[in-house]
Amino acid sequence: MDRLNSSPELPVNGTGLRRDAAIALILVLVGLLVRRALTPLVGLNFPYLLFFLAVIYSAWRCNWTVSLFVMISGLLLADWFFLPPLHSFLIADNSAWFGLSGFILSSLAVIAVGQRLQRQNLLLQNELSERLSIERDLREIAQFPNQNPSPVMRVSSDGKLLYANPSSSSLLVEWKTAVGQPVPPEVQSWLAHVLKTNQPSELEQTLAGRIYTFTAAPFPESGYVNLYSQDITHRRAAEEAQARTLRESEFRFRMMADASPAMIWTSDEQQLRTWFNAAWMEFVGRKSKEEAGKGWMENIHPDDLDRCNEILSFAFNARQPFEMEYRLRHHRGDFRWILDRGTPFYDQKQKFTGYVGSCVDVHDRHLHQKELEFEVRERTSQLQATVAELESFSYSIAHDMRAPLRAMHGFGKILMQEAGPKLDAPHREFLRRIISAANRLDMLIQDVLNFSRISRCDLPIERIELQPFIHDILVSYPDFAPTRAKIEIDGKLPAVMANGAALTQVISNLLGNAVKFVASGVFPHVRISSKTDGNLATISVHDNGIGIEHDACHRIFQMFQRLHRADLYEGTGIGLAIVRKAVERMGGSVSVESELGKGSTFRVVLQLAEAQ
Amino acid sequence: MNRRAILLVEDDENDVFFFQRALSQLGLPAPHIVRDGAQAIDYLNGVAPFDDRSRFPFPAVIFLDLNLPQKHGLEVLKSIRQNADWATLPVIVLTSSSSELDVTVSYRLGANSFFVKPTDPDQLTDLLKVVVQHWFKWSELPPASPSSPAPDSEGRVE
Repeated sequence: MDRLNSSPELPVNGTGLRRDAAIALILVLVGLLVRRALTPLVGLNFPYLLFFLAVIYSAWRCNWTVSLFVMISGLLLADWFFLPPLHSFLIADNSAWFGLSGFILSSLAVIAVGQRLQRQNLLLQNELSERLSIERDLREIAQFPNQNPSPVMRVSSDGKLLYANPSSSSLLVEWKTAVGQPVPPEVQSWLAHVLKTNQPSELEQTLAGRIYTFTAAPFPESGYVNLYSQDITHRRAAEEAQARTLRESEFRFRMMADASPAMIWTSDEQQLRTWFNAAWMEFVGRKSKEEAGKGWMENIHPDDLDRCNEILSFAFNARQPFEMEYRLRHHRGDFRWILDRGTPFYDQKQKFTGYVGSCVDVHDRHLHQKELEFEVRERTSQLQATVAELESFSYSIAHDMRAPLRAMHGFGKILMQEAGPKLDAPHREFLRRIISAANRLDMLIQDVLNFSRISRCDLPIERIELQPFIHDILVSYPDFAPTRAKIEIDGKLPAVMANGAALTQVISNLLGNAVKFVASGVFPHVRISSKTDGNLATISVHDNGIGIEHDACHRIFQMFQRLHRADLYEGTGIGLAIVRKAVERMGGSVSVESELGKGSTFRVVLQLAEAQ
Repeated sequence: MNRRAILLVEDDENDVFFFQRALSQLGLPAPHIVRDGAQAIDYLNGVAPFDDRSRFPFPAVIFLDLNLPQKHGLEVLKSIRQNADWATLPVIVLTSSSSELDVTVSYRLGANSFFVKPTDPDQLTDLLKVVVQHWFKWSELPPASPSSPAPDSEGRVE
């Protein structure tokens, strides 16, 4: 009863219920029609009879709402059609009330019973289907060992075979047994042990060339052991083949490694060396036991040991390849330089398993390198000494050689001023020549100094705006004054990368030449222009001078090259050498284009400050 | 006139001649002359043979050559600047060297000017005219203190 009450609501099957409700209502109507048809026979007796049948049907098939609806409609129809006064819902007398109450009570009773029966029926059905499904599952499960492609057996505590699945048949043939008969003695004693210890156990047996594994699961309280077997013949063969391949490849690797002149080693994931090839062992001349682990490091030169440890642990922690040079003690006792390269090693599953390394004896190379370094140092210091000598030489030129020259020039000039008028004309000419020679030698010395300064000083490169730069040069040299020459700048000059002091020398020398080398009586006219190309600027200095013979163009940039007699055009023959040296030191180039009698164009190419 | 004394430190007798000639052309008194660096320090210290301050007055300006025997001009300059009493003495370097290094070091050691000796004696006259005018006519010179405690032979005062 509890179960009935506790089930809250009958599961509603929509379509079925609607159909049954329709049938119940039809029954009510049919009951009304049949009862009316029977009226001539039975008069007004049994007004509820047929409606009651409809109530019974609905109680049996439908839920209580429909049943109550059927009951009430039957009640109203019976009252209207069959209870006097007819065609009214009035109740005439007590007997009518009695009949009506009887109908209601019996209908309610029927509905209540019907509902309960329905619930019970449903529960029974559920239980039944559940049982059926359990049975099906049980049958399936019972099939489970039978469907196992591997042998499954059960052996009783006294060693008799209780059960064997179909896959066990060939095994049973080898065991010469069947269900109900004892298993072989050796299996019996093993199973007895398993039962005694109550621990699962495994056994391997080779029967007629096939390898079987057995797993025994003991159930002492039930008095049997379950045996699960598997034929591992193929798997074992594959494993052995793989192991053999591995052994062979390792053997080959060792053969190769031993044949190699390089010293080869392996280490494990703990940074401990596990193996060395023959070359290594021969080098150190120790037992492999002594070298293993960190033993090999005992032979590293003490001065190199800390560095090696540092490199090794750094590389090891980062799992990075490493390369290091150190001195290793040879078995003769001397240390030799070794180049050791290690690479981290990963197995097929990408698991880090250590390092593999190889070493080369670089001792001779190392010594050679040391010798070379020594030689380079030696030569560098020699060169430095030479440069220092040259510097002191040029210093002494500046200082000491110019002093007597100044005296020659000074006294000559004083003599000319004070005694000149008293001298004969030829003697005055001699004196003039002495002064002018001294003057020229002084200029020469100054130019040589300039050249050597340009050649060896640091020339820091900076951004130089050419327009104001050239303008400053023009106003600071008397030779470039408008009274002496016409110098024009065509267009806007760019900014270049150059050294200020060096560029001053370049521009002033070029302009100086341009205004100097003109035919007599010609007013110098110089044009400065520029052109840019990529990140280069070409600055051109074009003059209306005497020009240069084509053949001479290539040698005018050399030291002491003069094309003209000193009495025609004075100069040292160093100016253009200074120009070329200065331009080259600033990473540029200089060239000339000229035709005799038609002027010259000197072009200087420098880096632009900003690429166009 | 003592306040206007000029000391020339110069070993080349030709240059000494040009210098004296230029000064006389400008109508200035003859300079006091020492021929090497050690003498220059002795002169400033007023030790023999320069112990008579009436004949060898403490200079108002020094013209100093660099390439000197005994004691290099730069050493002399250094000694002068290290001596507290001489530190304000105007020192004008007049040398043949135009080396950038000499220029830089001289100024760094406290030279007041650096001139390269002109080749032409007339240019020297022009130069000295400007310099002497600068120092004697327009500049306020530091008060001289010749009665300083005697420094050691290196020109240093402890």
